Amino acid sequence: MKRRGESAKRIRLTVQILFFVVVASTTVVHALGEMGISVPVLAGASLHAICPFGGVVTLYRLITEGAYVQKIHESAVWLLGIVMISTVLVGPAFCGWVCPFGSFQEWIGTIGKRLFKRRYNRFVPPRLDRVLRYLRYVVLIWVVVMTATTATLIFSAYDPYYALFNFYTGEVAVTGYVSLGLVMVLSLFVERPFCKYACPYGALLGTANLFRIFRLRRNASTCIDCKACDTSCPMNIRVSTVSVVRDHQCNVCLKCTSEQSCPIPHTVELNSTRLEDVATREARQ
Amino acid sequence: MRVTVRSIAFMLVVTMIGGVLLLSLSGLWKTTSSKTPVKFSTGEFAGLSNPADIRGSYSFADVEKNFSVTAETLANAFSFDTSSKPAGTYVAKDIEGAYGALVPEGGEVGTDSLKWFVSLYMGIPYEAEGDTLLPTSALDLLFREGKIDAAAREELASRSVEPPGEGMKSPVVITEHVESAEDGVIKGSTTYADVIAWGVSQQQIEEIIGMPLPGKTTNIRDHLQKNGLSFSTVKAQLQSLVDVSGQ
Repeated sequence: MKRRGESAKRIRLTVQILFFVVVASTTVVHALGEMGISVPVLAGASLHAICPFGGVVTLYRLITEGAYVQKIHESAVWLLGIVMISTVLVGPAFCGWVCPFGSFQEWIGTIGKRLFKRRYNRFVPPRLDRVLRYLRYVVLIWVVVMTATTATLIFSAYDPYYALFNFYTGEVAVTGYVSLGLVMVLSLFVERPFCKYACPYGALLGTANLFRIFRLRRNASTCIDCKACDTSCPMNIRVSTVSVVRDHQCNVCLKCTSEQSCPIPHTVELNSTRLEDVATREARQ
Repeated sequence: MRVTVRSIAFMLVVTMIGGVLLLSLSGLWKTTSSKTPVKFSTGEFAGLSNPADIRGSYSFADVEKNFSVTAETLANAFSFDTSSKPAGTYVAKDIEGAYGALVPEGGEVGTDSLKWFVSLYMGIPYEAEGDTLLPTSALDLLFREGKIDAAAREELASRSVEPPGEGMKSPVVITEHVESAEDGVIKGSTTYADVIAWGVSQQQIEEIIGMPLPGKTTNIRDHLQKNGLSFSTVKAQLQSLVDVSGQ
């Protein structure tokens, strides 16, 4: 189990690093292009061009005027479509596996884990935390409405993700640096604070947890109630209390599953069928 | 059906990277603007491109393609040197770079200035940002080509800034300078020789600038900037002498 868990961890880390490197390289190549230094690979694309959230904010203008919001191009809309395919299938795996800003927070969080051990990711009082988790929907509505009315990327001035990958370009607003600094500090105490409380794209993708085809399921009949799934969840979801995780914050990292934390095989899984039914079917065969 | 860590990793890499590769191969993956601004759909200007949609990445050639303003005109308006670089290759965001250090605090010359200039040139309404300024060379050009009248020019003067001096003038500006020599208006491209030709003596000029003339064909603005003198102050004094001698 331990070895299998380590292997699963490594696979996810590899995917996270891959996308982090792709995004970082793309922005560096773009910055070099702005300085007149041409690099043939990945040339032309800015961070906005490869962020699927750009597809979300430009949708209104695209439908009403047939044009894109400033700095957003066709690529962002295509990416939105691609991400939607995986999101409908398994939920917001984009957040847990692909988004480099999510990975960045997670990596800073490893320092917090070393510093605070079991207290890490448990600092925010549950009541306050529950309310704050809906803040990202306020951000989502504000960003979409403001972008639609102003036709400019209103969020980029506050976007810590943009600030992270463009901090050296001189194009980041002071508010961007402030929000990046804030997220970095908070990541030492809370796992993925931006994802939890402020990410508008995560808010949108999170709604897919209500209807995704492959759901995160718990087999209550085999569960030994050890709460390993709860402890491992970076988003503080109490997996042990439900049979299907529909929480809008689940980012499909799969840390809670029987492949990683859960000690009992086939007890917590991402599956299209009820795990009890799977077990019954397997017992019959 | 169960989805494992391995299969989710595979699915994400394949859909994301494979999807982008597939789109690239089919020519659908576009990460830069098509440089086609939104058109007015209704009203007097229906069918015309909207200057408000000009982006920082637009080259002057892109603007020329979409609006009835040539790249040369834009280069002249913003005093860009077209002898070493073709006018069409300048991009809107170059404007901010060229004017950044010259603009007084609270003002800005950049992409919005270009939108504003194009709208004034085409007679299309556009409300520029409150802090947006236009170079005096742009106002001169608009006035000279009859796009704005004297009253509008006067009004816009409070929202103008002197363009950068050395190395920025284009040969085309010099051609226009000859045209301007006929109307006796001192501007960024005027030389001391022009002012003398308009009836002001060398001695009068030297009294105003407080130093001997470096050479009659020297550009006034460049010379004054080199010596730390205000072009607008000297220009006003010289212009009044030109106006008096012309009466």
